[in-house]
This record gives sequence, structure tokens and C-alpha cells, in this order.
Amino acid sequence: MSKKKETPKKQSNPVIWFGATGILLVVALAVVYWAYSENEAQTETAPVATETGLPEYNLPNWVKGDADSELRLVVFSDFGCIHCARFHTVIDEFFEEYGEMFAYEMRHFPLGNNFHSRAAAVASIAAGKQGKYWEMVNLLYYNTDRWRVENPLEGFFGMAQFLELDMEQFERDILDEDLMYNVVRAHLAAQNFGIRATPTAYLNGEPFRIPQNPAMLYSAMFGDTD
Amino acid sequence: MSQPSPKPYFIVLLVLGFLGFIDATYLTATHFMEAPPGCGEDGGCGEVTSSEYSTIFGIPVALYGLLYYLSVIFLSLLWFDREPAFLPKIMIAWTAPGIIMSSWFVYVMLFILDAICWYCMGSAASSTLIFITSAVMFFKMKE
Repeated sequence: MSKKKETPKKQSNPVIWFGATGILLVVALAVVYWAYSENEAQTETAPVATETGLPEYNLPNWVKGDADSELRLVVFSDFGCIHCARFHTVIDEFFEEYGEMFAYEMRHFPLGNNFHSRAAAVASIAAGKQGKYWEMVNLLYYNTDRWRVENPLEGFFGMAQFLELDMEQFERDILDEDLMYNVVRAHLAAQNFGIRATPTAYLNGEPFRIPQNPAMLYSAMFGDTD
Repeated sequence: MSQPSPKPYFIVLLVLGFLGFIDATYLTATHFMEAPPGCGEDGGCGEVTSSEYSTIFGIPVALYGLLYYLSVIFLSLLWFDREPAFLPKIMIAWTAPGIIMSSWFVYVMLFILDAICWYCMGSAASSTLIFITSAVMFFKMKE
């Protein structure tokens, strides 16, 4: 023991150490509890569908997968949200692995804090009008750096060109004011319904927890795989 | 020539360490709770705390931060308890890695992820202030 060498000037005061440990423990517990209750509140973001079903949706929509399937997965998404992009990839991979076993509907819920998300939603619908909705959805999700810039139009036009769309029509559709207003209306309707975050998913009208990979999506929808 | 007392510096270090401790505890807790992935109406996607940069050797960086702030609190209390003469001089070395890591995380947030997590920024701010306080104390004690 090297206690001899140090010869403290003061007597050690245990009050400091016990007090500090106590305070830190209490504070840590309080913070953890607070984080926990915040987390719980976040989990309950998906409101239960009412008798009238999901919120009113007046935008043209395209179904991916088996449109006649009894299983209908509706996801409220924002192109600027990385978690939506990730979930979209999971669905893409799912279809590749297991085939098109359900109907997947992507509804636009462009969050207010990123106004280009609205423009991106309009761009996807403009491409959809020429039959390239899901192709455009992929491009938008995977190339956010192209349109999350000051002037997103250039990026959108580049993607339209890549998809060999009729540029004149695409330009008309992407600048269509009615379409823009309808995107805002769809957002407000979903907001009034109680949706607050993206992605928010519903399976046949029931709130559906977002799975992290195709296998988890499979077991969530069809029961456990063996 | 009487040496100035490092006491006020250790009071500041204790307060900053405590603030950092609260912040890091929150970040560690949310990391382990795995809040459902999603983006909120009022900003924030958890992009930072769920990114590949949020762990080192599989351990969340918030936990390293938590231990770091605990060490700062411990060393400050040690000074109040025993006043070891070497402590004001070594604090600068002990807190330097803190500011280096913080600078790296701020760089990652601003230039790699292009997303900001305010709790992480808060932690970077407190560890920067901890280093500055330690540095000022070091040079004042040298005089």
C-alpha cells in the first residue's frame, strides 16, 4: 500500500462520496425514467383506425405487389425520412425474396419541417401519371442528396430524364398547383387523424409495427417462419 | 508568491461534469431502449444516434461519454476531498481526449451524416467547456 507516501492534507470526508453517489444515482434514475416515458409516448404514435377507416386520401395512388391480396399494408411515408427509405428497402427485398404476397400502398405524409418532401411527393405522382411511380419512388429515396438542395427541380428533372418520361408532361404535372394542394390536404387529413411520425404503417387498418428486415416482416405478417 | 486556489475551477468542472452526466445518461438510455425508428413532425429522425458512428467496438459512444463525465465528477470530488496537488495539473491531459472525440462527433454530424442531434451537441459543448476550464486552470496554476 502506498498510503504512506501520499499523506493527505485533509481527512477524507465520506459525506462527499456518499452524497455524490446518492445524487448521481437519483438523477440517473430520473433521467432513465424520463427517457422511458418519452419512448412509450412515441410508441403510441399510430392512432387506431376508426370505423370510417384510414384518413381521407385524395391523391392518385399506385399499389405495389398483389393488388387483390387480402393483406393490405398502408404506410405513411416521407421521402426525406431515412427510416421510410429503409423500410421501403425492406419491402423491396421482401418482394424479391418471397414474391408479391400482399398489397403495399405508400401514402404521402411529407413532414412539415422539410418542405422539399412535399415537392418530392408531387414528383413521384407526376412520374406515376406516366406509369413510373415506383421507379420514381426508388430514385427519390436513394438519391435524397439530389433534391434536398436549394432548388430541387433540377434533381427531379434529372430523374425524370433517367426514367425516359415525357418531359413536357412531367413538367406540367410537377408544377400542377392542384396536385400540390392535394398533397398538403392529404398531409393535413392524416395529421387530423392523429398521425405524427413517419413511417406509420397499417395492416388491414390495424396499426403495424415497422419490422427491420424482410424476415421480420414475414413473421409479422404471416406468423413465425420455421 | 501565493498560488491561486483551483477551487473555482473544480466547482465549474463539477457542474459541467454533472450536466454532461445527465445528457449522456439520457443518450445511453435511449440508445438501449431502441425508440421505434421514425421521423417526427417537429424534426429529428434519430439519424445520429442510430448511425454506424454511434457505437465503437459495439458499445454506444454515449456510454463512453457517461463514464468520462463520471470520471470528471470523481476527480473534481477528489480534489474537494483531498486536494491532491497533482490534480490541477493533470486535468488538462485527462480531458483532452474528450474534446478530440467531441470534435470528431461534431464533424460526423455536420459533414458526414448531415444531421444534428441536439443532445449530442450538448455533450460536445460540455466536454469542450470542461477542457477549456482544465486548460485555464493548468496555465493559471503554472504562473
